[in-house]
Order: sequence, then structure tokens, then C-alpha cells
Amino acid sequence: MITHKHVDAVTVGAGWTAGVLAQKLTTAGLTMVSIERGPERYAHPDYAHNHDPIRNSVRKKMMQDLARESWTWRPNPSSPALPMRQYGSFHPGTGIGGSGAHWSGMHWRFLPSDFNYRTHYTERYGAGKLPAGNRIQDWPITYADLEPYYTQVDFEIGVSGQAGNLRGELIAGGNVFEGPRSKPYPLPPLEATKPSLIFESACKGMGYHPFPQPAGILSRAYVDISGRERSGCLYCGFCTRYGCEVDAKASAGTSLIPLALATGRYEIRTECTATHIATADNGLATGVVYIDGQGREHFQPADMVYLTAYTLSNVRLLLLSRSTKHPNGLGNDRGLVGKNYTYQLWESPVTGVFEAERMNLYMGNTSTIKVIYDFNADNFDHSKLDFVGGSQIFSCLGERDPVTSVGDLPINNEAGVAMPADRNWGQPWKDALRKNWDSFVPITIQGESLPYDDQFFDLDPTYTDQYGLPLLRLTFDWHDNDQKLYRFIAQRCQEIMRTMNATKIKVTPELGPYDYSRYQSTHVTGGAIMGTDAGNSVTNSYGQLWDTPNVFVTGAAQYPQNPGANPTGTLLALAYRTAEAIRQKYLKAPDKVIG
Amino acid sequence: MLLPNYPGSSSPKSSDNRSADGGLPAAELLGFPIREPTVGRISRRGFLASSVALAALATVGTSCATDRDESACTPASGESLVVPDGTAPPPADPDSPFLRFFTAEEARAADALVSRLLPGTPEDPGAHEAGVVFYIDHLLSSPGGFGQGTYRHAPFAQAYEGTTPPVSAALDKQVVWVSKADLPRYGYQSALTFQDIWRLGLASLEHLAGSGGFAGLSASQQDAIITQLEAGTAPGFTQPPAKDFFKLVRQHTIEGMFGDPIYGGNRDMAGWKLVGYPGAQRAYLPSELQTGTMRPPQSLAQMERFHAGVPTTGNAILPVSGSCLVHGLHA
Repeated sequence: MITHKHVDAVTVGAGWTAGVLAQKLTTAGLTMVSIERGPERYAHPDYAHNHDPIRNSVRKKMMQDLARESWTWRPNPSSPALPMRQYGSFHPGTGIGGSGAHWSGMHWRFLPSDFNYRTHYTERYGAGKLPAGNRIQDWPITYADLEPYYTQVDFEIGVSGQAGNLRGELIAGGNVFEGPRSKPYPLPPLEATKPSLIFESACKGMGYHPFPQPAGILSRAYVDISGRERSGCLYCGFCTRYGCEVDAKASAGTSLIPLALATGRYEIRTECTATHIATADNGLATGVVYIDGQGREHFQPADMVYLTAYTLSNVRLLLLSRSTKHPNGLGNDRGLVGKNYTYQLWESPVTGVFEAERMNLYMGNTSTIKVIYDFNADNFDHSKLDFVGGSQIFSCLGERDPVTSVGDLPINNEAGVAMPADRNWGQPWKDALRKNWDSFVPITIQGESLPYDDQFFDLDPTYTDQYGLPLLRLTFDWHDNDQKLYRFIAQRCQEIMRTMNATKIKVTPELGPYDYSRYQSTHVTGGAIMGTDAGNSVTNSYGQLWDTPNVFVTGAAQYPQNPGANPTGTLLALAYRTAEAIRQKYLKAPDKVIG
Repeated sequence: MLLPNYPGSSSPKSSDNRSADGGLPAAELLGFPIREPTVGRISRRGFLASSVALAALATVGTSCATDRDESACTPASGESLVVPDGTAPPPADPDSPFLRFFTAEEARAADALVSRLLPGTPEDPGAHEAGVVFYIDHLLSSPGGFGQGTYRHAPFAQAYEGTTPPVSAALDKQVVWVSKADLPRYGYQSALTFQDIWRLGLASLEHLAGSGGFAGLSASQQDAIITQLEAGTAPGFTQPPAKDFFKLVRQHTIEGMFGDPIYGGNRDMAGWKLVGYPGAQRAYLPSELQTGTMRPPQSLAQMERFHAGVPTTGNAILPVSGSCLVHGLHA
């Protein structure tokens, strides 16, 4: 065991929230080390000329190596769990920047009603409206508590969008359902794909309120917190699952990590895999044990430990970090680690074919779109509906490349509607691709995911990683509420597509069972949720473990349930708030739960 | 604001063996054994000194005076590695590349198979003309033929029909029994590698096709067999199951037809020309999102090299900002 010089704080992972904490705390004088299992990488030179779908989308070069570590899954507690042997449902990253380097860049604030979900629904519809077996609970903070940090993030990393609610004043063209923001976006929205404008026009005609997708991608050159001018988006079409060659897409590596490194008080040790958090006899954490790229074991002692890795890694490390004082793992004195695992409903219920009309969809990215929030959250009346929650609806993503999209061309034997080809191989299919590869337009939804008693993380009893440590096991399937929500939203999507006047429409009216093998989103949340006290949560609103106050968890592991929006914007705001609380409150009374 | 030269990070004091305050938990307290990893790994930084992705870039140990002057990023030593930049001629005669995995007979059968998934003629190229079989052959020469990190530990899954697992299920340690209806939800779970699936699948295909092989059949006979493969009804396919074979063949055909030509398929960008995809382009103007583009398809091999701080010519719009200074050292 190689023991290092003590530092003030050690993080597991060098991704988004490690970057936030590193920049905020090292500039305030703290020393910090990040233990990062992946490689060192930055836009230059690592993402230069990376416009290669085989390498990035097919071979997952920026993602965790499943040969070393994976996760198992079963649909329910009475089914067998099997490992993800090749990538499917989600794509956790590795290396500096983590998933936040190859993310889509879609950047949101959650709605005010997302923060007090249980209270909101109970007051409006009665407690009986919430689905059976749920573990829904309010967040311990409100949208108003987080608003200043959301705004700070917007300006420091550079976020593009159109405000819809500026200090209570509704602005047409923005998201009129959003919570009030204190400042507009620092940058105007990105451009939109050609069919997104058709979608926008149809939605407006139907009385909905379309707005441009907000993005952590610069729409024009911008000087961010680092003082460096970064390029605006080039709309190259190689965005999700790629690092951005010109740093238009924000990540920890574009701005925050370089600032932290420049203080001389921050160090990232790459190719180093954390195996557990060490604790003392009094139950407080003492540091992180990790294995380096040559297989040697190290110990990094620190006053504070930050679990800043991906949700799955954070939860797994808590469970693996057993000791006499924490026999079931850190944070787990009350058995709540792993609970409230939620995911995301990400589907394309409807696809329209605008035969032989080229839509130029290989350009742009996931955020060059228009969105409506008219059916998200409780923005519509649920009194006569048999489900709770909602979904955003949007169309049509750019960055289409043939390798990953030719399989999505609708064919004749789907949904019984006459389509361009009758099978997805052969001459008719080839001709259909020639005619319509750039002409089919999905409408996509991103819906809420609610927590249930039979949806959770724990350690797998059978499968291990390359070090012999148990893999994390996921128990998850869609529930009744998801099926009903999907059915309703699919009908709304159908109506919009008919208004868009596609030549042919394919509909998938039902959700069906959860398919672990098919990519949906990397929005895995919960497992170390925040709450008002140790009886209902693993952490307080700062991510501080109730049972081990010198350990903080960041990221989406903290979410009690997952709203209908990408998680990154909110976990950044939470990390900003946590960094401030550490500086202003925790350091004045260390090793104690922040009041 | 200019960021200062990044200082070297402190090296771990490997000679310092004192225990940390509070004690280190022994492995037994964890409840799990920690197995020594068997493979050492080279740190990327050490590797970078001897391999260069792009000739003009800074490497470890350089100093950069400003964040905008790329010429200030001088290489650490006098190495001048020549790398392909799109102007050199193609490395081999595409009509007679060497096979790395398939035997000649396997390649013939595979080529005939993929040619029915994407048929073609010299005037309207398909999988054969695009060299898809060579993409697949090259892919299959990598470990397992996977191309990406794949979790390969037992126990592997076996499917059972109906609703009840076999009586032996509770005792099986090397097999996890899953209902046939549910198994597809778990994704790839076979103990067979992609190399196995191709090799064994082609053998079953050739057996089914009879003397003369699959390549000797007429197009409609071939299509009839492929239809059976897709439906899972092709006789003689136990290892791998017919559907698994069809699924992998189709996936690899798509990759080989539409992936960048540097991987051996999509010759002359035939796949991209078919669907109208311009390939590896650096930038599009906002107006092009609406009107489309006239630029011809381009492979990675032809993509203009990006030098930090240097705007390019042509349609590409590059930022005037470099980031060579963000590279640091690590222990």
C-alpha cells in the first residue's frame, strides 16, 4: 500500500462535479486530489478529428470498459440478474470529464413542481393519485433555493437558450412553464434542424408553446469563467458520444479543471480505480483506497471525501465501503443506499417519413431542436387521467450518421401502415434508404421516472469486476404508471405528426417491457437520495452523508425521483451550492452535518 | 487572462510506508477479496511521448507562451514522425487485400451473404462492391471480434421455453436460466464470441446450402435462406442460433457499408453516396441546416488537420483559441 501526502479533499472521479468542487475549493486555498479511473483527455489533442462513428458510437471509445467492470440487471426481484456484456441502455463515460465530456449538452432547470412532487400531487389530486408501491418524496430544497446556482452555472460554463420566465414575466418563444429565472441566458439558442421548424410550426398551430432546446453548447464565441474565448458550435454532427473538438460543448475539462490545476493545489491521478472509502474507528472517512494502472494499491488520506463519479459508481462505492462502524456500507446505516433508483422514459412513439424530402439531419446535434413542455410534469390537468407525471416532447435531433440510423428507417411490417420497404435488408430496403434515409423524422419524448419499492440498486452476489469486487445490480422495470403515461403522450405525438403532414407515419402506441439491451438515455438517478433527515434519505441537500458527515455525494444519485428532463443542469447547480456550503459553513465546523 | 504554465504534479512518495491516521481497513474488513490484477497498463502520458496523433501538436513537457500561438507549443524532442494526412496514396491494392481472419472459402460465403443484405452492381454499388467483407474480416481479427470492451465472465445465460426453469436450475452454478421470452431484454449474453458466431454460423450456412456453397446458389435461393435465418427457422443452426447469426451479420454489414472507409469497407464511400451523407465534415453553416450542402463526401483520411489557433481555409470555421496549455503532468 502506497500512502500519499494528506490533502484537504479527495474525489472519486474527475468529471463534471469534481471539476466544480476542484475549481471552487482549490481557488479558496484547499488542496485536492481526484482519483480518475480513465485516461487524461482534453479537446486538444484528444478530440481532434474524432468525427468517427465506428470508433465513438459503435465501439464506445469514450466509455467505461465493460471488460473491466459492468453492471447486472434484472427486471424484478424474482428474475435472474445478468451482466451488461456489451453496451445497451446507458453509456457511462470514463476519463477526465467523464460522461460529461461526451454528453449531448442538453441543459435544463427542473420545474418548481419537480422539487415538491409529493406535496404538489397530494394537494392537487389527493394522495391516492400516486401509484401503488411508490417511494416518491419531496426534495429538501425548492427551485427558488437553487435558482441562483442555476444562473451562476449558465454564465460560468456558457449555456445557450431563450428565457421563458424572467423574474415572473412570461416571454413568448421561451419555455413559459419554467420557473422564474433571475437573468436571461448568456447566449442565444442554437440553430434548429429543418424538421424541427416544421414541428415548431405544427405545435404553435395546435396552441402549444414550442421553444428552443437549452444547451451547454455555445451558440457563438464566448469567454467563460476561465477567461478563454471558446468557439461557438460548428454543427459538425459528431456530438453525443464524442468530445467536442473545439470546446464549444462545455465540460469539466473545458474550463473548471484547468483553473483548478492552475492553482497548483489540485492533482488528477488518471488510470486509477477507487475500490473503497476508508474509515476510522469513529466512523468518519479517512480517505480513498485505489489501484493504479500498474496494479499497485494506494491510499490517499484526506479530511473530506467527495463521491463525484457517475451515479452507478457512487452508489456501488458506498455499498463496497464496509467497516466495523458501517457494516452495510457508507451512508447505509439505515439501509437506504440503493433505494429510489429511477431512470428516464426516452422513446420515439411516432416517426414520420417526408418521402424524398431531404432534411439535412446529419448536421447539428441533439440540441438543435424545438421542445414543448405542455405535457410535462403537472403542466396539464391530470384529474381525469389514470396516471401522474408527464414528458417533454421534441423533434428532430440532428447528428444523424448512417451506421447508427439506417436501422431506424421505418419498414412496412411495423404498425400496419404502408411504409417504404417491407423488410430491413435487400434491394427494396436499399432503395428505401437511398430515397428516405435523410427524410424520416421521429418525435421523441423524455418522460419522468418514479421510484418504487421494487426498483433499487444493490450488490450482485454472482458477478464481479476485474478486481473481484461485486458488480452493482439494478432491479428495474417499467410500471403501470409508465405504460399509461406513454400511451397518453404517444397519442399527443401522433396528433402533432399528423399536423406536420408527413407522407407516412409509423406509430408505436405501447411502451412494452424495459429493454436493457437498447440504448435509451444515460440518465440513471437515485440510490443516494437527498432528504430532510436520516430517516428518509442518505444525504442532506448538500449531498452530505447523514452517517458520515465528512463524505459528500454529488450528481444524480441524489435525486429522489427523476423529472422529465436531462439531469446534468441540476446536478451542476447542486454542486455549486455544495461547494459554497463547504467553504462557508462546513469548514467552520468540520466533521459535522451542515445545519 | 493567460493561464500560467502548468506545474508538474507531485509524485507519490512511494518510499513512504507509514500508515494513515485512523488506520487502513484490512481486506478482511471489507468482506470482499481484492484480487491482484494480472495486466499492467502503460500510462497514456508515457506512451504519448513515442506516438503522435498529429505532427504539429505539443506533447508532455512543452511550454506554451500563450493560449493563441500554436507555434509556441514546441515538441519536447526532435522527433518528426510522418503521419498520413490525406495526401499520400492508399496503402494497398483494394482488389486483393489480405484476409486476417476468414479463410478464402469463409470470405466467399460471407461476401455472398452480405451482398444479399445490400445488393449491388458496379453502377449501383452494394456490400460486395463496397468491400464490406473486408471490414468484417478486419473487425473479427481483434480479440473475440468484438471491437469494444466486452464483459466475458461466467456464468452465461441459457434460455428455457415456457414459464418454468429446468429442475436443475437451482443447482447450476455455471448457467443462469432465463426464460426465452425475457432473454432478448438482457442483450448479448452468449458464451460465443463474435468470431465464434461468424465462424460457426458460416459453417452451418454452408452445410445448409449444400455442395457449391451459399455463393453457388441463385439470388432467390439465397434470399429464401436469409429469410429463414431472420425468422429463426433455418435448419441446422444450434450454435449459434439462426436469429443471433442473422442479427450480427446485419449489424456488421451496416458497419461495413456505412462506416468510414479507413476501416476497410464503404469503398469509394459507396455507402455514403447511396444515402447522401457527406461523411467527416468539420463544420456546417447555419444556413446549410436548412438548405443542405453541396460538398462531396469526405473520409477521415481526407479531413483537414486541425491545428490549435490556426483557422482553416475553405468552408471550415475554426476557433481562434487553443487549449494546448491544459495538458498537465501526472504521477
